[in-house]
Amino acid sequence: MTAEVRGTDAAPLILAFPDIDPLGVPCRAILDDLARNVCGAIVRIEQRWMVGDLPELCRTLSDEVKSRRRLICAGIGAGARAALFAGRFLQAEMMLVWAPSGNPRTAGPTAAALYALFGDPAIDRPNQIVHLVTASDTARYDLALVTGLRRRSTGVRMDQIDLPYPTFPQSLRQTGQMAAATQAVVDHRPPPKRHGLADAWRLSFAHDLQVNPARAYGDADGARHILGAFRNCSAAPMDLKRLAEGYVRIGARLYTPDHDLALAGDARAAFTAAWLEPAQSIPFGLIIPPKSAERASEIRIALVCEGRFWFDDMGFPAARLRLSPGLTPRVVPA
Amino acid sequence: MTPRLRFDFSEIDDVWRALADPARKEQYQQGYFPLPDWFVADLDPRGAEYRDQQLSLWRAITGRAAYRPERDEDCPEISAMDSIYRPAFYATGDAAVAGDHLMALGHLLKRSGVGPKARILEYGAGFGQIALAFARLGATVETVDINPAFCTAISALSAHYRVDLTPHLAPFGFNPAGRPGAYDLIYFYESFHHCLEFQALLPVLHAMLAPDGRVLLAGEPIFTEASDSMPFPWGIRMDGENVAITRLRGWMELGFREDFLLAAFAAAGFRVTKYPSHNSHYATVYEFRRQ
Repeated sequence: MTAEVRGTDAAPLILAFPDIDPLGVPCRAILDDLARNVCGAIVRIEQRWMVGDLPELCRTLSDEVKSRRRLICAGIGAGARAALFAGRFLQAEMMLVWAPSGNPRTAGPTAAALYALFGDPAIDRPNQIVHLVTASDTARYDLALVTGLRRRSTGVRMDQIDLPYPTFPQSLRQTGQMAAATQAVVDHRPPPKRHGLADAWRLSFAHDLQVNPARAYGDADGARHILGAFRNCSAAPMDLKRLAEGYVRIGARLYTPDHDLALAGDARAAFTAAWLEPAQSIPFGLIIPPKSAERASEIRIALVCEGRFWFDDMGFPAARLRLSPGLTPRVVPA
Repeated sequence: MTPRLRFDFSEIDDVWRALADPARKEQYQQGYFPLPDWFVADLDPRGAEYRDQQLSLWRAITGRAAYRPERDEDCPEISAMDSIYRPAFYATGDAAVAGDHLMALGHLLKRSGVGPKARILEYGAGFGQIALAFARLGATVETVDINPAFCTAISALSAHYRVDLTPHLAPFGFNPAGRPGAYDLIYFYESFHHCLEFQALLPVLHAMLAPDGRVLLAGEPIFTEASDSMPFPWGIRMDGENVAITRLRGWMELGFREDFLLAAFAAAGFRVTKYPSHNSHYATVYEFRRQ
């Protein structure tokens, strides 16, 4: 199959390969957004690669996509490795990949497995382009991986984002960066240069967490109860349901007097609404387990993307609550 | 006047060692390797047979079987260098060396004729110091380099300075714009002489330029006269230092006679202006505009 004999269906088809989160769940939310926000193309989220044999899947896909004149394969992390493989196998016009060396320990094709499968030069498409977007912590390994896979005449365009790989599913979605880059490619334009994405992310996803110390209390068992409010400080509504689907929660980290990280325990709270308009707040409640609470001198409350990162480590705000060692826990009212 | 040293190919490794000795360095740099007996001097320099003979010369020097730029033009030590604060000539710690390169950088900028909205392409950008200067002036700059470590370095520069500077890992002739007529300026600094297929590249460059666009060359080994170390219209420079580097690195260290190179550009549809520099030969700029 070559570019010339590919079908004539005009709308580009984007095969989007989701990453896998540390719990083994596909990160679909960002690709769902892609499907909603990219105009003039069909976005198909392809997650079969996670559960089956990738070359076999590509043979199946080969039939399914042959009517498309333009085919683009996209993916993040482990999904990016799948996109690189599928893009080459299916002779896509372009592979659009974010941090393909990210997420090396979860399921999905490893670099070694991909190298082993990439030996057949007969499937090379002339002038195929790889658009590689690296994270601040994956740049060198990403390019090494792509270089090992690429056909000699393939061009690799390289952009770097000033955020680490674990933030990508959230930061790319909340800034619209992935959709913007994909739209540009669909429109035959170079993807827009986006320096300072971290700043843009903090602006587009601006939020605040407030805790009232007067409403923090201990119960008879020694557990500590914290009540607070989460506020949308950005200019746009927040889709909290979609955030929750991406395993974003309100969480607490506990610090001992010497500021070593203590136990996080099970201190998590889900959002209590599905949608939050600008300047609106929702309440939350957290319970710090007794064994953790008794060691802590400070509690920091922030959003957490489970298994990936804490938002306050990326410059978002956290609420801090200092605890007095001598404080007698108040009995929970009946 | 001390006669120039004349070496044999069996002495390449000795020459390399001598170049590391400050007392002998200059004399060995200026020495030369005569062409081997099998070398045919009267081939057409525009033809494939001539090119193939240069490849044979490269093989004789390097001992390698086949020239593959992505392997043989490698420079592995650069991945350990600081690409932001002390890249390229800054890493030498030598003010005279830095002065040469900064003069060349300045002269390239001065002769570029581009405004802040220009679209610019550099081939063989290395650490991208010139590309960065153009990008900091507001231009959209793309680089093409075959070396992944240089691409990574430029990507880091682009992020650090927050400029419109994008590296592409690709060979000479790759067109990042994906369409003809996109570039106001295409330039080479100390890189054109690594392009074995330069004659095929010239019409490609012509097609990539906007109607008023230009190609600039600087820091290239272009000679106005024949010499023992440049005994042909174009080919591997036969001086002690370059033959030793070719052996050690595998790089294609070509040189050009000026009359031949300018005629090749003219044949590809360019008119040339030369801007000499009396302070540094690195800073001599050749400008090629579409006729």
